[in-house]
Amino acid sequence: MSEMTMELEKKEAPTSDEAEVVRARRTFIPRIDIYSAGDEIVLVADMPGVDEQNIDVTLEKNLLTIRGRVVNQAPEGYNSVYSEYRIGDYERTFSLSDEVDRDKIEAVLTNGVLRLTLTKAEVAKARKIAVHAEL
Amino acid sequence: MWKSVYRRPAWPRRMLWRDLQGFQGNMEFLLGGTRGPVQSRFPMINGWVNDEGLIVTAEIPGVDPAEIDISIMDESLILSGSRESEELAEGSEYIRRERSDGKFSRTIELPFRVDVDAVEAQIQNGVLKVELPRLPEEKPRKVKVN
Repeated sequence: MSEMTMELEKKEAPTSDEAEVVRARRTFIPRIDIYSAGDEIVLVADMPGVDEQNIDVTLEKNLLTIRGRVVNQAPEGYNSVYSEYRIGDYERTFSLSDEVDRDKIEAVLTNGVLRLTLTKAEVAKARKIAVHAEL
Repeated sequence: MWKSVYRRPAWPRRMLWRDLQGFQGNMEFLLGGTRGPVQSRFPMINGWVNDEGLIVTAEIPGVDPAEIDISIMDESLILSGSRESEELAEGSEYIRRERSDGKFSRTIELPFRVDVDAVEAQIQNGVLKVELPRLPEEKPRKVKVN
């Protein structure tokens, strides 16, 4: 097993230039792995501090968005004396092709890691659109 | 099939060093000065103090609670363990890979001596929290002014 070489800091999500974002908290881009496994595509995202109640997976048109809200970790009655990592929410968006069965997205959260399993759609495999020329 | 909207950031080495030096300047107590650079910086930690003791938190998503080892030696807290990489079935392949795995070990110099028998640790949602109470003689004493 190799020694861990982790990037140092969490990357903050950029704010949109077009829309004003009302955001009182920091938002970070979670690190992810994506792999294919047979008919499935698995997305694994590091979202430490997020529990099942505060995770949100949405699919709007072809955009799959994962969001996680982090519960405040600061212990009460203590003063922060050292800080290497910042605490904030997570958000990341992926564009999805039609090959995914939208009704079969499974999400599991374990030890601060979100695992999304997406199934390749049967329909997409064989979908053909007939084009008729109009006279 | 997939297209991420954001790219993984490339972190220039030079910047990383400057960052570390900045840390050393600001907070000597946790950095003993003997630590190596990059690989010993996982997990990242935060520290909180009050009159009763110190709390150290660390983000360790995906680390099996059974795979983390917490020990105290002299005035140092040592966090070590590993994050297992996923065994992919045959025919499976990574489309994108940003998460790291492997062994880690981190030594954190403590600002005071702690009551080793009273140290408690818990992991919740991939965040480790270690509570280290001060030894009685390390607790600040109030001096009355007459």
